[in-house]
Amino acid sequence: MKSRTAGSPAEPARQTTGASRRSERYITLRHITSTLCLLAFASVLPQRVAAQATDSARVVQTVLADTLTVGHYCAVVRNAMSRDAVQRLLADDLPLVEAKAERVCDPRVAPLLLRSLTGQGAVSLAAVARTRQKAYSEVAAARLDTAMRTLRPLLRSRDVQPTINAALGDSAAQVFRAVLDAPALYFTAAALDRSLERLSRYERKLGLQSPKLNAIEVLLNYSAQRWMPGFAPSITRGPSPLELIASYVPAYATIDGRKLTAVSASEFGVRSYLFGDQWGKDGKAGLLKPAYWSIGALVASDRNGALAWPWDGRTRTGAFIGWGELKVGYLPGRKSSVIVTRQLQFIPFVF
Amino acid sequence: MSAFKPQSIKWPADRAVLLVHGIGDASGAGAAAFPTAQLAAALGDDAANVAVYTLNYDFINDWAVRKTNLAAGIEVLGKAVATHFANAELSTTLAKYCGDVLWPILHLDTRMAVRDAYIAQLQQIVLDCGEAALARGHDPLEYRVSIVAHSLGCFHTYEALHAAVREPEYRLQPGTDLTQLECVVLMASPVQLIRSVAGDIGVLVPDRNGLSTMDAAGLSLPSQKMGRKSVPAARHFVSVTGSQDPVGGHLFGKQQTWGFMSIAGQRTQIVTQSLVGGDTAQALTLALAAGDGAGAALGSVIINPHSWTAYVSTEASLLREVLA
Repeated sequence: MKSRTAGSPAEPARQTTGASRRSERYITLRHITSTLCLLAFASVLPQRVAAQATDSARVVQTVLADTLTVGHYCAVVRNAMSRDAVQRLLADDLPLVEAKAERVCDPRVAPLLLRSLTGQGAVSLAAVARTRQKAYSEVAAARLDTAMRTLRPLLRSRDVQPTINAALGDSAAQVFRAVLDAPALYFTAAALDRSLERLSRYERKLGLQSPKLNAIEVLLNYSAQRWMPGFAPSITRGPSPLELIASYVPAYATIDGRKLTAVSASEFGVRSYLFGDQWGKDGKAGLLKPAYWSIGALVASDRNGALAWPWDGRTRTGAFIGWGELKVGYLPGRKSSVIVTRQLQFIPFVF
Repeated sequence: MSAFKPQSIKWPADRAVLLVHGIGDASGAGAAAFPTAQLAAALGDDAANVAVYTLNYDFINDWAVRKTNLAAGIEVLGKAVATHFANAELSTTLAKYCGDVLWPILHLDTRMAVRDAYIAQLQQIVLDCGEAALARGHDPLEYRVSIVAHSLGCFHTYEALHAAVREPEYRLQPGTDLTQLECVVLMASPVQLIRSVAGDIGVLVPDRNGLSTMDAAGLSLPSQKMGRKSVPAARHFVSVTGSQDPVGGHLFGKQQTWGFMSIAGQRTQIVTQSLVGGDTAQALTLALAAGDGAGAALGSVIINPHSWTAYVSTEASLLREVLA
């Protein structure tokens, strides 16, 4: 367990920006939980914890880190609410606190691990066996989150803390604070993960590996975000996976006779980004797990060639499908052809 | 996961400050763009007790520059800004200068991505705070977090804090989640300027309702409404701007209503600056164009009136007071 003296300027600040932040955060929280659990158990079973902490503190911390439950939370809340001074202080808020305490003190959810409420940790086997179905646990977790989110500001705000401290005494007040803060930290950590997940989606859609837009596409997508459902970003989900395509592609290729020939075509369609860690791979892996796929209509002239105007001569209309940077199109007609190309912008913001 | 990793610091004591840069500050000079040395000098011996976080969101700007033709949007905004400046000689320079701080209002994805990066950094600070306090057996609510932002960073701060108090998703509501900040210091805030220009080009601005800067009720201190109670995002909200800084809403020493951010409840600090030479228009043009090198005078020192390092240095006593 980390322990340092507050205000010790001699100790340099640790800064972390490495790729292992996510796991490290959970390790950090595990340390916090270890502290909390030791404190919580200390209030309930002081002799047992004292012995364990002195004999094999590290083992105890590891074991206890995953054992702080809703039942413990209920116990410290009930303990605080049993004090007259706290009841007097809560006054008008007392019925609300009692109602929410009732919810967290439901014996059916008592075995649920606080950590499991965020969906990040596994629900304990005991809890699953007790509730029999995971769905119930999820519903219970949401209800518990609401209840705890209501209880914490009522019982932990700066206004009430002095009364709680005085009513419980220093040691129990410390336990009380720590247990009420534990789920808040877990939920903040989960919210941070969601923020980073959204940011990762923005990176996939806007970042250096994403297809560049030409001027028309910029305007089209700007309009789509404003007026078409499904294209605007969302606070909880991040960017829309959809992006409109309207581009001139002078570098399709086909086999005409036995010759490799360039074909110019206009594309009108939609690109859909594949969010999630398993997508957006680089190199060869990107062929199987690209960052996006696309589909749409193709318009091309019957005269092949690079930089040919698609509406020159007889126009052929077909379709294309893209898987990452690779695109394959089909142009029907007397000389039907399969054409292929790679996602590329030749002249910035033009085509 | 994202390439962006929020900065995590082991707190040396019970205080932290987040520095949020303006447009281009960090892309040009990287970490050196943050006035950490000036802040340390301002705090003196106390500096060792403050965990200093820095938020760099220029990488998101770079995405947008590459992905879309932002230059065109900036040009539109620059023209809208120019209509506010009567002096024709200055309007081109000022339009270019201010246009840079206005573009996020036009690009929705970028605006939201910067907000998520900002929110992620605040969430990490809450976790670091909890870790530091719990490890020492302290109450995390006794620990204090402040923000010092400059230029466009003020706009992102204003928007992020309003989003934080509004959206339970972020777990940063000051009343519910007990994450009230100690102090927010906005230096050369363009929030009112953005509000004015965005109002001029209103139909072009996507998701106006999602922009607190465009709130029909006016600018306000971010606060969470809890029944009859209102819990502000920060105990203290301070606005600092120079008397020659057009981004902060001043032109030739005069406060401009279209550019000066005035929010009920904010504490305002105006830094007196004077332009060097007889031709004030030329002096301001030079000052803005020359970076930190020349232009306006603060006492005997000649500086760019929009310089962040200068603001931090000259407002050392204010920072000492609010970050103590």
